[in-house]
Amino acid sequence: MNKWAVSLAAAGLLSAGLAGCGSAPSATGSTPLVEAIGQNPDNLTPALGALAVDNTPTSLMDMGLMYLTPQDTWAPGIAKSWSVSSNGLNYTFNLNPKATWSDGKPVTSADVVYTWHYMTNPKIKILYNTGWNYVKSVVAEGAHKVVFHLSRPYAPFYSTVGGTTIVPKHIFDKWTANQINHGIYDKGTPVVSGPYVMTKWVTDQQLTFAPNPHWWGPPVNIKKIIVQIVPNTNTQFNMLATGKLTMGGIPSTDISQIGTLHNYNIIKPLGATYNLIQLDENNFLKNVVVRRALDYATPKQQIVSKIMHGQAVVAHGDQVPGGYFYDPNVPHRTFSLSKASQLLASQGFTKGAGGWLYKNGKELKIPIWTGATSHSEVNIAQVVSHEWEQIGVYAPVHTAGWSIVFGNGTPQNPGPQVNGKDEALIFSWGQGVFPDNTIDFNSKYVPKSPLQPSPQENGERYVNPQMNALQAQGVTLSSRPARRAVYDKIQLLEQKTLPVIFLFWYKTDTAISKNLQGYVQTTFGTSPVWDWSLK
Amino acid sequence: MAKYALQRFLEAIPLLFLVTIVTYFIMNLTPGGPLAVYLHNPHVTQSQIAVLAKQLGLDQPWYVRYFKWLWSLLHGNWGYSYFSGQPVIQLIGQRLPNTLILMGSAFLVSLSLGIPLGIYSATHQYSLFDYMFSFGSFFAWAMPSFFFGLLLQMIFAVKLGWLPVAGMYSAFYPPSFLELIRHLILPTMVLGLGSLAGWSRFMRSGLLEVVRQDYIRTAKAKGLKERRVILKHALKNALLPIVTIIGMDLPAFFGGAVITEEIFAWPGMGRLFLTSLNDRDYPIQMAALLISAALLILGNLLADLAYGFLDPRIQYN
Repeated sequence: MNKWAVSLAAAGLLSAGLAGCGSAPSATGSTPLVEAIGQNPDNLTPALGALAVDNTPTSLMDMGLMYLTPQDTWAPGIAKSWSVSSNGLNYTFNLNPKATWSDGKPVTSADVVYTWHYMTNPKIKILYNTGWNYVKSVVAEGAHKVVFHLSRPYAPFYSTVGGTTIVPKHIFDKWTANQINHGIYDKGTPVVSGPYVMTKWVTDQQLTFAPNPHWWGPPVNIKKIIVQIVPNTNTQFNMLATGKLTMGGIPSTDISQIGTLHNYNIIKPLGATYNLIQLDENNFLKNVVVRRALDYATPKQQIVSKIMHGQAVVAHGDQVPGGYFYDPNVPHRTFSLSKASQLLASQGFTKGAGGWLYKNGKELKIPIWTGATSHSEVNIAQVVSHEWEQIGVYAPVHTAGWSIVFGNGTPQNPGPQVNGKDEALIFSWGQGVFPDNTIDFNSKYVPKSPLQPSPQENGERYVNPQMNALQAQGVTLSSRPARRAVYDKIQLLEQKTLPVIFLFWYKTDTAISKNLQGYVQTTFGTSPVWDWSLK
Repeated sequence: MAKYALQRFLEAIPLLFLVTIVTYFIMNLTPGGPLAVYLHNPHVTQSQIAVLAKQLGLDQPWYVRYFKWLWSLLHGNWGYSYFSGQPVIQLIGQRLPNTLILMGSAFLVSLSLGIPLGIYSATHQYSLFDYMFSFGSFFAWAMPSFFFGLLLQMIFAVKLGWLPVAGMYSAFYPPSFLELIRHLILPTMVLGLGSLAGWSRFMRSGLLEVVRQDYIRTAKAKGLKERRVILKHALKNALLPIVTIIGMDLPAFFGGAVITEEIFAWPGMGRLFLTSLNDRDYPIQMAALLISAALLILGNLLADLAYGFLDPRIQYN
């Protein structure tokens, strides 16, 4: 045998040996559930994490007083029952006496009271404490009953406060705000009240979870859960293709390869995020008829099928389809360039230099902005620009980083969302499943100056006292049917007057292993982890 | 030589200081800023953003923040991440060894294959191997690493099932050296390929230039064997320009790791740096840029020291 043959044989043996290492089943004997997230969680301390990926591990470990089911109803968490006073100012929760922390200590009303102090402590870098600002006091009535007293009726209380993770007082009491801010909770095994405890967190690689030995709820079936951190979505898809993940999202670029995933069921839940064109209500765009013409000239269905590859459904408003507050009867405008042209002609626009529309010597120019890093949104901008230009609207596409698009910029050069010029902006908005849209369309949220350090979400500068009044009702009425009637009116008002073109709601094609039982995913969330099992 | 190395080290300190000022200034010029992510968040209110700005010191002018950062750095404190709140030194400590493993293996592969291939190609100029090698190296040079990475994943992990798709260790087995090697193969190929192709081309052209010189002709005329002429007399001189390029490429490995680590889910500095760039997490950005600048200086220093070994005319006094 010559030296080349020896080398080849050695290489073959090595590759066979290397290949053999990964093909065996789990060394632990029981099959773990493996899912992937795109980023290392930044912080697992309750209310301190800023990333969406934090939800995957925290949903395994944390419990609030209640949680939202995939059927859009509230189910008992740490609280086994609850009630609200007729004036909407007092919420009473009866805690489950079986509830226990993972170190064996009982969960009591003192923990709930402490959570209120924690969520309102200005020294702790809490990001999301919406709703807690309306809590005047939290009073413990015995070990297993708490009453929240509000300063004013606040209808989204359950969704903002009721679902907040309850914090273990006996653990956090020992730490300073500075220690909490710097992630002391994440070191070691955090004390939690949910069904799983984190046993290991290898930075940027994976988090491993085992059943909480003191879990007090329904027994869990899966003995080990691994959350792998895989930043690239194509890599995640390749991991699905090799069967290394129990479940995972499918990026639109890999939709054509979906047939290669043989041992998976594909589900297509609707996400609670919509895509929109925000129009600055200024100059020509102040005219509601011009905005309606642009709506008619926007090919939403084409965008859904050609750009989103069916991973979306056309949107007609900002309430999530299928949700309690969604009104399917709100009329909508179907794509029609001729109708759009007629509407613009009716407003006195005529063709002029360059083939663009003019009125009183001024060109109808609407630059379209979007984020440079989002391929689909850049494509959408180009398609919309093409159609608008068919009817004579000059619509050049501009792209920039999202932080520039949404940033305040400088006084000389404010960002496109806050500069108040005639501009369209395409982006996605995580509306969520709850109906309150005050921050989006209330006149209080119109940017007052380019440098105002506020969320400034009403970038379209929509001012409508009727909308303001309806939104105020929507967040104070405690009767659910009464609230729905209010949001029906809001959706109709949006359709008639809002300077926003709703494009589509995202759908995420998700591959779920055929071995995973009991997993349900809808717009409102997933079935609780204790319902899951692996064949 | 030790004196020379020390002198260069001391010279590097003001240079690094200058680098920190320039990068801090440029970072603060970029629009957006660390809190821009919250401007578009329905759950974060104006007052919360103001509180955060104060807590993070972002309400102060950039030069004040810079000197505070520098003062902390000089006291061994690299600051805290704006988002996770964790010490930057801890975040780097968790990831830097992983990046060094990847960089080191890519560097070794590029060096151990690139130099011999370049020599072989030069000594077999215009042969079939030389043509194929030239085509292959230009192809590899031109191949974008993100595409090449996904291509290798598709072939070796998905289709053939020989190697893992991504990660540093298997999720199902305890970490072991063999597991590390299996996971290292594909990212090493991606990270090292460009340098391998480049260095081998430089090696080839460098050697071809040297072998045409008079002293080589003299050595051959004296009856020395071809192998001895190349390895003993020509190679050292041909290596001089390559050493410079290799030294300069050291930070390029660090930069290249950003994409490779992203594709192969390698838990290293590249991903941390990319995330910090997206988030405008200044303390991490500063640390990563400082490390990159230090690597550039180190690479140049090593190259300069290597000259002394390769060319006896160079003295360090």
